Amino acid sequence: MNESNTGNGVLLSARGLVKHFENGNVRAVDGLDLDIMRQEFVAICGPSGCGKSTLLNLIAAIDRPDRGTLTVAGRSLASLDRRDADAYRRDTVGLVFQLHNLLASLTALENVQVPMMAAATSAAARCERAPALLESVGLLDRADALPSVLSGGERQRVALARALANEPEILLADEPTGALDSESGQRLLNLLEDLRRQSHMTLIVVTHDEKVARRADRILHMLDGRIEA
Amino acid sequence: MKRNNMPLTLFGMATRNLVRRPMRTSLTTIGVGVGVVAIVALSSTIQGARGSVDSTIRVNNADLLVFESNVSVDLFSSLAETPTRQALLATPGVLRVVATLWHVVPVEDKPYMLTFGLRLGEMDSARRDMMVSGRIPESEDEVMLGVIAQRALNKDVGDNVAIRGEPFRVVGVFRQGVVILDGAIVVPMRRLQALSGKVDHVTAFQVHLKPGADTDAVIARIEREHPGLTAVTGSGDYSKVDEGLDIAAGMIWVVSLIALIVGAVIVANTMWMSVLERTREIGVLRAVGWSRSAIVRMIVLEAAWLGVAAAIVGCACGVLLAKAAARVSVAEQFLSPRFGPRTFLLAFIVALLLSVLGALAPALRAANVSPAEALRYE
Repeated sequence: MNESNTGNGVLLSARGLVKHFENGNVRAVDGLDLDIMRQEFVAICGPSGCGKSTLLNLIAAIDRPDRGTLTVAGRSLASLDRRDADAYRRDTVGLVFQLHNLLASLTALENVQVPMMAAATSAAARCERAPALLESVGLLDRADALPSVLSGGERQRVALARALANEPEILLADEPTGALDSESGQRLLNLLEDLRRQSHMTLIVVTHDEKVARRADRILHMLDGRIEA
Repeated sequence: MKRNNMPLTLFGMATRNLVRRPMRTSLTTIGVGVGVVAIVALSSTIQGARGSVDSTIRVNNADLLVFESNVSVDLFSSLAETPTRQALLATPGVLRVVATLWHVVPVEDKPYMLTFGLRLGEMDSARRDMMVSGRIPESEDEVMLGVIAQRALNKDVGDNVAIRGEPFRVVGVFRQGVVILDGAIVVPMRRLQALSGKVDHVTAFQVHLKPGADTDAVIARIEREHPGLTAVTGSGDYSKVDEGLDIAAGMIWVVSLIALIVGAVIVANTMWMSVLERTREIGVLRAVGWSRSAIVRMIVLEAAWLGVAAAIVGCACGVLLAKAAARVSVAEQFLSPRFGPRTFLLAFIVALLLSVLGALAPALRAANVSPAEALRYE
C-alpha cells in the first residue's frame, strides 16, 4: 500500500449508512462509517455480495441510502432531490463500470460526448474536449470506431474518457479491470493513476484484484455491509 | 484515418437509435403511413370533388345554380321547366337562364354514365371554344361527348352511341377541364327528358346575372319568393342540395381519427419495446447525469422522426393511390383528385401528432427508469 494521502481534507463522510434490499432481507450496506480524503486513491475490497458495489452506487447517487448520512463535497446525498442528484452525477462524479456500458450505436468519440450533452457543454467545446480525452487514453485513432469493433481494453479506456468528460471531483470505478486480460488491466490502471494525478481527483475503486488494490493509498475491506476494522 | 468531428446531438442519437433497428423502424413507418395514405387519398379526392362542383357551377360563366329546395341529392332535384324559367327570368338581377337535366343512364356497355340535357338553342356558344373535334349538336338525334366519356366509350365523331338502347350520332367532342363534365354526354333536352321519364322537367338552371347584380340579394329573393327553389354558388353552400361532400369530408375526419388511434398504438408498441430493450442504456444515460426531461426528449424525438418518415412515405403512396383510383374505368368519369398544400399539411400534422402521442407513455417510462435498477438489468 502506498503512503496515505490525508492532507487535503475530508471529501466523503458516511455515518451509520444503511441500504437494504428485498424488504430488509438483504443488508447490502449495514451501518457503515467511512471517511475519504480529497485526492485519495482508495480501494474497496471484499467478497462478492459484501456490499462494495452498493456502496459505490450510494456514493454515485445512483441509489439512495435507507438510513444514515452520506456527505460528499459538502452535499448530503440522502437529501438530494432528483434534479440535484442528476446534477451531482453529472458534475461531481465520473463512473467506470465493470462492463464498459458504452452506447452501442455511438462511436467512441460520441460516447465521450454523452455526459457533456447532459452538462449542456457547447458543441464547439465538445468537439475540442472529446478528442483530447480520447487522446489522453491513447485512442484518438479509434475515435470513429463503434464499441462493437473495439477490444475489451479499448472499450474500458473509452469508458474512462467518458467518465472524465465533465472533469469530476471523484472517479468511481467498479471492477474496472474485471473483464480485461492482465496486460490490458495493468495498462488501464496506469492510465487511471496518471489521470488522477494530473487532474487531482479522488479515486475510489471497487475490486477483487489484489494487484489493483496494492496500488491504492488505502485499502478498505468490506464484509457484511461494513468496513472491517 | 479521417475523423468525424461533428458534435453529437440529441437528433443524431435519435436517428441512430432508429437506424440500428431497420426492420422495426420500417414496419412502424408503414403502420403509421397507412393512416397517412388514407388521409391523402380521401382528402385529395374530396378536394377534387369540391373543385368539380365549383367548376360545374361556373361552367359557361354562370353565377348560380338553382335547384329544387329540400332535396338530399342534387340528382333528385326536379323542376317544372317552363314556369321555373319564367319565374327566374322575372327576378330582378337575372340576365339569362339555361335549363339542365342531369341523368345517369346506361350507355353502350357502361352500366351508368352521366348525361346532361340541354336545349339545342342553349348549347351555349361558349362551348364552341371547348370543342376538341366536330361541332355542337344541331338536331335531336345528335350528341357530343366529353373527352373522358369519349375515351371510356372508345367512340369518335361520326360514330353511333346507344343511350339506354336508343341510337344517337356523335357529332362533337369537348373538353371543359372538369372531370365530371368531361366524363359526361351532352344530349338534346327533349330526348333526354323522354329517356328519363321527366317530360317538361329539368334538374337545375344555370343562372347568369346582370353586371353589377348583388349575388346574395338575388339568391335571397329567389328563395324568399319561390320556396320550392334554392340557389348555390359553389362547393361552400352545395350542401343545400347535396350533403355528399360534407359527409365525405366528415368521413375524412373519422378516418383520420382511426388512423390517429391505430398509429399511436403502433408507435407506442414500438417505442415501448425500444425502451425495454434499452433499459440498461437509459440507466447509463441517467447515471452520467442525463435528466429525465432529456430522456423524454430523446424518445419523443425518435417518435417524431418516425412520424415524419411515415408522413413522407404516406403522402407519396396516397398520391399514387388517389391517382390510381381515378384511373379506374367507372371512377375516371367522376374522380379527379386535387393535391393542395392543406392535404399534405394535414397528413404531416396527423402523423407527427399520433407518433408523439404514442411515444409519451414509453418516454415517461424511460424517464422513470432508476439508474441503479437499470444498471442491474440484463
